[in-house]
Amino acid sequence: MYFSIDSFFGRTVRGAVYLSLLLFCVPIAAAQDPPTEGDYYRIETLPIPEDIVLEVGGMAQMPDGRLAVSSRRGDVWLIQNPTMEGGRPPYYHRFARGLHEPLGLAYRDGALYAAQRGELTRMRDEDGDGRADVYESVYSWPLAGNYHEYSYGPLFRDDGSMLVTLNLAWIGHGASLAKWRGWMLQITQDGEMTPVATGMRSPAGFGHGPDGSVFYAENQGDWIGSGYITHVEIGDFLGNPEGLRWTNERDVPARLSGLAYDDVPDNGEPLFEAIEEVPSLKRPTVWFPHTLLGISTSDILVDSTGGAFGPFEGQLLVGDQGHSRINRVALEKVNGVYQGVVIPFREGFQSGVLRLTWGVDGSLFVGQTSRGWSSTGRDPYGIQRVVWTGETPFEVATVEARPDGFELGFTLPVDSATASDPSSYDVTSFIYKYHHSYGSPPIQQENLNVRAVSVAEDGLSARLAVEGLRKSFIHEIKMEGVRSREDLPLLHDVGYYTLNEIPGGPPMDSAAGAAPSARPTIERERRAEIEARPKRLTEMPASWTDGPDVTVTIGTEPGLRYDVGSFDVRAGSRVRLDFENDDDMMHNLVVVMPRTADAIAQEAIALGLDGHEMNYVPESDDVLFHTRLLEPNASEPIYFVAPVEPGEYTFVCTFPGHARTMRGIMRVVGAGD
Amino acid sequence: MASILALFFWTGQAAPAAYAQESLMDLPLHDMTAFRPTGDNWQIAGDVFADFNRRHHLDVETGTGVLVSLPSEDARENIFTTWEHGDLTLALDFMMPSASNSGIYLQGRYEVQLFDSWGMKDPTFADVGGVYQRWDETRRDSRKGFDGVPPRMNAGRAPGLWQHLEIDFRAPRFDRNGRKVENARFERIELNGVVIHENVELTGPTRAAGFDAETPAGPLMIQGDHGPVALRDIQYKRYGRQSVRLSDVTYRTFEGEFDSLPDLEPLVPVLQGALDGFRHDVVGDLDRFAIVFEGELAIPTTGPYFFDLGLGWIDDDPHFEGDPQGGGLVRVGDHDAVRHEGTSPSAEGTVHLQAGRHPFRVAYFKNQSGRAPVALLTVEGPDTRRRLLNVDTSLPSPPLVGPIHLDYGTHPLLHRHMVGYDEDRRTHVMSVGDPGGVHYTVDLHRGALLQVWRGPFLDATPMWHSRGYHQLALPRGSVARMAGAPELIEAPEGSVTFERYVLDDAGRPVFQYAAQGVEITDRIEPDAENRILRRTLRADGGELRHAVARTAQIERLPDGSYAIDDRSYLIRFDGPAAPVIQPLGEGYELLVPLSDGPVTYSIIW
Repeated sequence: MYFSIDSFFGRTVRGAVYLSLLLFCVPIAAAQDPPTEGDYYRIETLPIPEDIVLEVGGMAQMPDGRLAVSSRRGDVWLIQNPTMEGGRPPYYHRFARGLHEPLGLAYRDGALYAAQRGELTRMRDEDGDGRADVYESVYSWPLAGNYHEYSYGPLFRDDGSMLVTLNLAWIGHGASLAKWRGWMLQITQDGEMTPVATGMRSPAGFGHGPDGSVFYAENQGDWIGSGYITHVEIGDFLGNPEGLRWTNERDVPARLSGLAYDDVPDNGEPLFEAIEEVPSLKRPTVWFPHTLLGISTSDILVDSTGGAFGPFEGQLLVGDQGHSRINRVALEKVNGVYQGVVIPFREGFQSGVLRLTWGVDGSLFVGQTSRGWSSTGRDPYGIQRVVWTGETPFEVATVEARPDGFELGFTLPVDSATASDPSSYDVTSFIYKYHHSYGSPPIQQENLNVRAVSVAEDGLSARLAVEGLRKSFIHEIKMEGVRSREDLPLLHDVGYYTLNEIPGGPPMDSAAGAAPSARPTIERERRAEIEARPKRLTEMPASWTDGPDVTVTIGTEPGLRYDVGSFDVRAGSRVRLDFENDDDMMHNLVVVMPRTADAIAQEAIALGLDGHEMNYVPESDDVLFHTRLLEPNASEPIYFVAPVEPGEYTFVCTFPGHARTMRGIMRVVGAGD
Repeated sequence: MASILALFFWTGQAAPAAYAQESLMDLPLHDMTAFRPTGDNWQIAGDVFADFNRRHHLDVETGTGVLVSLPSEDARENIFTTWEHGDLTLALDFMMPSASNSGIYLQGRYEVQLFDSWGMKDPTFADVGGVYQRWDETRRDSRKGFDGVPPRMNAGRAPGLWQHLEIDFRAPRFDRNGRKVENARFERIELNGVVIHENVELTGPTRAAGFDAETPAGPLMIQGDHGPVALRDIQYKRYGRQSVRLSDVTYRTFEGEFDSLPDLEPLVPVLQGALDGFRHDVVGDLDRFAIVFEGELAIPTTGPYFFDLGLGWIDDDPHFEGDPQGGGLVRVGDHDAVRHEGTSPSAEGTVHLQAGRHPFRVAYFKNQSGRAPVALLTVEGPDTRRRLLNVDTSLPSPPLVGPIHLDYGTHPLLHRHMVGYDEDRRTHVMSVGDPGGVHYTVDLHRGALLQVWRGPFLDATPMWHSRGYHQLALPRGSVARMAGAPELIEAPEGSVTFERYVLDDAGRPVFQYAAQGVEITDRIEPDAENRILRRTLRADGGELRHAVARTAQIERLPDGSYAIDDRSYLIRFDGPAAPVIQPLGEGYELLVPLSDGPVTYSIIW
């Protein structure tokens, strides 16, 4: 399978392969540890010249193999040899410059197109010097001037028209201060514009589905309980009502005409319930549970490599900026409605994943930027590519809805003993609130009974009979117990299926037997327990008649940081700590035992679905005190008695992805110091 | 702090600097009585005109308001004010004829050079704005001149234009025995809107000073012997050694959510006590509160006193929606000095006060979560500098960020960004940085030239640092601002479509717009000396009238050029054109018809 050193010296062998041999290719069979993502999908990093600040905004594959990349600094770079053939470095050539934060890029008929903040621009090189010399304004839209008015695209349609999406401004909440913010627009080559749909909040990513339909990715925020992707059709209202301000304009699709902000219920019930009052409101196609599968969805790219990228042809890859990862979506259409499952795919990218593009060789280019949002990947920016090693991972390839459960498709045959055991699975359903507040905890959570499992003879599928499916809910399907015939665990053993529609048809033969009945909802009990927790006292104890001995105020700074690096308290003193979240994201503040912050942060991530409700504070003796999870522009005081043991205690934000930068030291000094 | 910085970034125009003084005195220029007797080269005039092509040329019209020196073989004296000064703020306009040379000597001893340095790329101490060198004949050759300080950049304008200079000067200090214990200093010098010096120490009198020995006071001197010069609007403020002092301060803090300043007397404070002065940080952890400080204010001199209360947590984004975030009141004796209504971070007021001690009271409330409760209280009196009353140790240190500068190289650098423009912001804007060092910004939505400048290109920090909250790029040189309004008379606001720009062989953009069915081509490029921008416009498919300028004042000068906006820049038509000046509201516009024959004019500043 692998090239030998002899063959490398004996004839011309691609250096990239040689390089990967040295760095990555440990034969899987010989490894003792369970396989990792890298065994199947290798990440290669493109070197970037030191003097280029390549905060990636857009990427486009040119027909000749060059990769075009636009940057926040307004440049368009053409990268020759981006696949690093022959072990040679890529070559960077600047095609254009001076654009206003181009957050998209597309190539068509010899021209490059970019959405700048206020304009869709066509760039051409007419004198043949390799640099754009004609910059045409295809269509321009107004701006209020707010920093959060990002503009994305274009995405070319088959008819040569283009789609762009326009982010809401942020003024303490999302707002459409200028016309068409919060909308997707269709623009012809001649600059004729038609508004397509609204309800968008932060539509940084959009792309084609397997059949040419259009999907966009949304980020958690006001009116958006968690991230999702939604199939966009003309006249859709996609959730955030700020863009409805423009529904009386000319050319607005009939389904949206006249719809107003006040028509939208704001009662915290799930989005699907609001559809009864607002028929043009659209359910998300696939929810991406916040912090479990990323925190900020980005680009959407369908696997159209014909198998060059592995076994997921036709599925969607969806990037995540904050968590520096890519998730995978398998779609199906039930009762004419798209829905499907999202499953982790690959993590560990160097910066925030914003853009995805196929290279000509079927490898995946991943354009990245962090730019003040402090992504999990620590680099400020970068470009990497993902290469399939040729090995097939043991994965759930597909999840499809059935009248009474789900059918799972696997990439490799399963071990029928583990796969047919209902206790190998765990299914929980939940949904999010639909309201003007920022984000939502999971609500109406129920653990469902997997009644029976039937495994196909070839071992490539399993039918789950699940009691209590709920239409429009998210169904978490955990498959921890399933093994392959080679006794491998699933590379990713969880998926989140959004059950917009339940198909008709015959139920599964139930002869396989019954399992214990559903476990009770624990939501309410848990909440009461959390509220009683003394680690979070928000009222001053009555016994503190002289008030606190010391009061400390900690705020936030952009870039995931507290505005206080350290503070001192005396051992055993009475402390009031005020945490003020003036960022535009959610944060908490957790005081932990010395040198335990990293472990606690990991435990917080592992809380999974329960994390939000538990304020991302794990049950641990190492957690001393904490605030609740604070939405933007909120604050909370907590009262506690400082530890008697002097030392350097850490305070840290345990919201997933924040702990690396967002922490400081509470120095407890002895009473005599 | 965030909000105070935001105030700066929303429009790109800084909040009033700590040194900008409220109440400068006019130096009367209706006659020569403000000056000691001097030579015949000095006179009071009504207006002046300097042809920027003619060396040392300065025509004088009779009248008052302008101080002129026309030195001759027989009369070439310097001029001194009748009054003397120690610490001083000085602001004035000056006009340099071509190749001329003069200087402003603080205390008659320390010179800020005035010179025609138009277009000079690397200015020295001897160029406009330079702190001139000292001179010692006893030193060897090249060492005779020493301690000159060049300006940070050449912020000078073309000869014949009015230029604006502001100087903050700190006099030398002497002990009881008359021995100097501290050198004089230029705390700050600003030329045409650019800070060109800060904290420049003066080890002794500069060359050609009026006096050799240093003393606590001396007259202001203007050099009259090197070449013709004109000055006007000379304003100054002399400072005594006493300052406004606040003492016996007590405070009371009230917790709660207030949406206006409440009557505090019936309320029970959560904290109270005595302080060493005004310290906003005494509220510590509180987020929503009201606070009152009371004390005694010692006023050194009877006269007008200016106060400013800055509440740093109040949003300055005009789009901000929500409850009032704060507000307050400053009272001195029986006077309301500042009523802060909470509509923007800063509010100010002036009251007339007698010398002596006055009861003093500052109250304000904060109804906003998340931003630091920073309140800055500023005072300025008739002979005291503007300063903060906050106790030094209570002040937050500003977050400093390494700036992201953009500079041109061998090719023009094009950059799209936003610009703060008056109260407004322009969102579809392009700046062009030319390798010759002459730059401009156009508003693509209006097809209008916004600003021109020479020197370094742009500071892009507000759009590229962190999340880029401010989206602005700020010119780094001395900016001449244009009207920025739509420039086509037949095409009102919103009816001009920016179509494209095409780069020429040198990499310079040619802009194309459509308006009323007519195609407009707009090319802007520097002249060979890299001092002037030359703009060529053409209209294809119809005739439109182009407003070259819209402003309060347009003059046709004797040499045929047009002076705009009180001679802040000149327009000179370089080919066939039929310009007319027409009244427009309170002001005028300079119109020229455009058709398929190009119209070219130079912008000279």
